[in-house]
Amino acid sequence: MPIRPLDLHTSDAVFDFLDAIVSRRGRTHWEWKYGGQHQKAPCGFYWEESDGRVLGFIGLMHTDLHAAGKRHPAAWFVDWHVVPGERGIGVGLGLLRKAEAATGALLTLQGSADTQSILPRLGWKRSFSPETWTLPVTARFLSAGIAERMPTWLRPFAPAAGVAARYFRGAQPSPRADFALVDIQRFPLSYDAVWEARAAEFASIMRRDPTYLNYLCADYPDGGYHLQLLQRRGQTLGHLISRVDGDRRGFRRGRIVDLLWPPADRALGAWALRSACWQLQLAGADYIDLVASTPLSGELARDARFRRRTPVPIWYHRLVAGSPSPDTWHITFLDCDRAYR
Amino acid sequence: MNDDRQGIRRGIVEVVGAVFGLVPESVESGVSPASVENWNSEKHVELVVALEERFGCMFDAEEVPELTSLEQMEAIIRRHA
Repeated sequence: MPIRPLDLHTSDAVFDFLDAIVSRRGRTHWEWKYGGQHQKAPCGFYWEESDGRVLGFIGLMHTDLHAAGKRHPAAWFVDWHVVPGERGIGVGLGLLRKAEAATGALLTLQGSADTQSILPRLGWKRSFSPETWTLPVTARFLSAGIAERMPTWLRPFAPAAGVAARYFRGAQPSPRADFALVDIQRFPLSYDAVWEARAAEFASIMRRDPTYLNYLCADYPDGGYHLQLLQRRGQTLGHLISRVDGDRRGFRRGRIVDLLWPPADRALGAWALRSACWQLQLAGADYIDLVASTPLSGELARDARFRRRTPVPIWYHRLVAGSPSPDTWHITFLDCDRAYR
Repeated sequence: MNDDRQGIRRGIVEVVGAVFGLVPESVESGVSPASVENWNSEKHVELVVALEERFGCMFDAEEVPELTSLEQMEAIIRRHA
């Protein structure tokens, strides 16, 4: 059969294909990317002709959706590519169907122009619930935004306007509280109990147990993730994962990759978000991004003076019986970040 | 049996003609991605979905790229009949 699961015995031709079509990273990178998921289900499929030529690939980042006390298997598909031209026709669809059969709910974020054109023809739907929110925190970043909206003759005044705007915007230190953020290198296995408690409190939430969080962030080579436990009087109630990196425009982007807290404790959520912003600002971020997908996280972002920027559409097809609509899922950057490298 | 076969072939010709904007005579003379100018990945997806709707079947993942000639379409659809 030409469709084969990605495994330890996968030939170099598959990794050569990924290097040529996706990005020249080498076998070690691809094995690392797909190899550490602790899954029984395959983490990818490829199409191999009888003469050994590889015509296509689809990668899977497995996760679980927790809702109403049940766990539904799901997977994000990534690195979906076929050889260009006639030989690749139909191969991509075949791989997509194989991937669908290997998991409960198959999902993807945004997608390339080809993906966006093909998926609706196959009956896939889009959820627009996840949205990017941004908080500018430096005069430099505010000035650039102001200049973009100004007529050319006014642009020399943009830096001064940015300094003035900075006075009113930007992150502020959190007021003193019983709460604390404690740095860690990895999530301890004992964090599983905290995660289980939080999973039961959110209507529907993607997997965030310690094994998964470590796979996504702690074990990510040079990922630059800042892992912290969110505590009240020494008791761990959730976590914060954040990172500062550069964007294409030369600004330093602070990212609140993931925040988990008891959703009923709004004061704790607000404190954690504000503290995260303050930390990122001190770490040199020009602006801070987060993804909010539910009214609760959106309200917290608005209260912290973030501004809604753009939706991050999720594509999905068939959902397992009893699985809630993706419109209700608590989603952040975390669910897809590893997939983009 | 012959009626069945003719019915399947006629249905395929109609679907292929509708997807690629071809007259039946042109389809019957033989089609392939090489001979039909706009037969690309997106059009192939349309073709697969249209054939599945027409014949009430769902092709296996590995059959999808094989649907590139009238003969192969007919053989695969007959497997699902």
